[in-house]
Amino acid sequence: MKGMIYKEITLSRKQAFMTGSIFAIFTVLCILVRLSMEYGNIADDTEWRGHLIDNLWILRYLPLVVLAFSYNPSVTMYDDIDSGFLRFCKTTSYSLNYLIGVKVITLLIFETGVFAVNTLYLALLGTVGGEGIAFSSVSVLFKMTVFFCVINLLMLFISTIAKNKKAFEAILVTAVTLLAVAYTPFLMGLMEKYNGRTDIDILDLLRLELAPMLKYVQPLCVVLFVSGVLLNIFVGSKLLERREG
Amino acid sequence: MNAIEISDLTKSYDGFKLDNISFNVPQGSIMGFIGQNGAGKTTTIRLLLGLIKRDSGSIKMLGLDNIECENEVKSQIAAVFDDIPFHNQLTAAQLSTVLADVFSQWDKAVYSEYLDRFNLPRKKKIGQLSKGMRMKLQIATALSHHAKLLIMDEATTGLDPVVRNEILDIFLEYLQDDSNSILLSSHITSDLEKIADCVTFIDKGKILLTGVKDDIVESHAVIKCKKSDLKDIDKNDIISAHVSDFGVEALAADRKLCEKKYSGITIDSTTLEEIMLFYVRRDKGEWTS
Repeated sequence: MKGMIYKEITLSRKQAFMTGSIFAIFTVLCILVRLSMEYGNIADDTEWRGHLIDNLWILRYLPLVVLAFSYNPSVTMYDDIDSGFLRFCKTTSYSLNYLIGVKVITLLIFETGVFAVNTLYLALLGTVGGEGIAFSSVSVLFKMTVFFCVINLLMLFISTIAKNKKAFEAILVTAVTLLAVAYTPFLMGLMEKYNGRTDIDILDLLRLELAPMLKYVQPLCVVLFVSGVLLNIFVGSKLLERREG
Repeated sequence: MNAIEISDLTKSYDGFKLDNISFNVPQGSIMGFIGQNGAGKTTTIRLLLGLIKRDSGSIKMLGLDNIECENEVKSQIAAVFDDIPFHNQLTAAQLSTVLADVFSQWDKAVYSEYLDRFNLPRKKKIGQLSKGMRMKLQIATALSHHAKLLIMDEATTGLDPVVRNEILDIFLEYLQDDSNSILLSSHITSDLEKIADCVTFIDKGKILLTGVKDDIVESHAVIKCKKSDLKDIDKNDIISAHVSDFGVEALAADRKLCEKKYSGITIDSTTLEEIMLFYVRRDKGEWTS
């Protein structure tokens, strides 16, 4: 398994470097903003500072979004397909369950790293702001990391269904479009409900409104994660086997 | 014992049918699998490797059914394709780490020896290697896990004669071990003339000839005569005839018979390439270039 994980990491090096660089830029900017909130220009603007304090979560979790896709198993899956490696594996006794399993394990390794780096970032941000690091922030970070794992697993599964990269992208675009269409009535309702308020107010109110539902997020993430792993290993590998090469 | 036994194998696609083919690859031999492009060579090889499913028939490799004993069979074979099936971003050295996971019998020392022998750079990315180097690397990987059977699909196509010769020598060396066998699909018949023990000729999804190469070549002959003499030759004795301004060349399937029947006509030995050419045009009977 070591060798195949090594392959996954080697193939993802470029992407990891790119997302890592963007993450570094984001973290520096976020920390500068936080410093400015305490000691710089923003500290003097009470109203603006107040808004930022209320929405510190943006500073806390925005860099995670970038780093969460430093390893994308669907990308390496298409690398395997396009290079002929998948076809090669089918000519050997190497199980496709392992091929998928390795991608899942690599994802876990990467996301654990992402979680650790982001926890350090949270600690740094907390130190700069003087509020320290709260367990609740780490807990949110963890849930978000699991959520991104689920997204990556879903993309991996789509890559086992889609015939080629174009079909894969078409499925993703369709899914995002459908989600946007489904989301529109909800958004329209919000606009009507909070007519005349600023975006930041709406976010605050929305957060309060959604608070009771947050308790379901954690178990849902766990269920989705386990389902994603099982779906890929048992169904995804069968779909890959069926793919004629 | 046969390394490969194919019986009544059938596979249909839209517009193509591999029609009930049967042939054997004796253990310890190189079988040349020849035919023009689209004849069914790659389909047969994909069926052997389990990359596609057969409609009917049976395939035994190293004495085992290739579907029922899939893992056991696949652990003892190596496939070589016309292009390297590894990621361009990896190097030869990194590939060894990866393949150690894929093959339980991966031999790093043997692989390293082949890299030295082929002068393959260890740290250069596969994407930066020449076509010949990529093929040599693929062959090095195929020979480094103690496979008993090599299955190669157009492995020498697109390579210069020097590299091709080097690779053919390696195949002969591999066959020094009597338990090793090779199925080599190619439309470059000159390569097979050099190294193949047996030949199977496929055309339009049907096996036209299969057997020991020397027997096939020796039993066929090219009859050379004037256009006016062609009418004296029994059509049943020839596969097809090439008619040109300079005369007629016809391929005979039974050299001895023709030598007896047509004593006044020139009867020459033939080559695999000529056999392939005349058989491919067998439906036309007489053809001009």
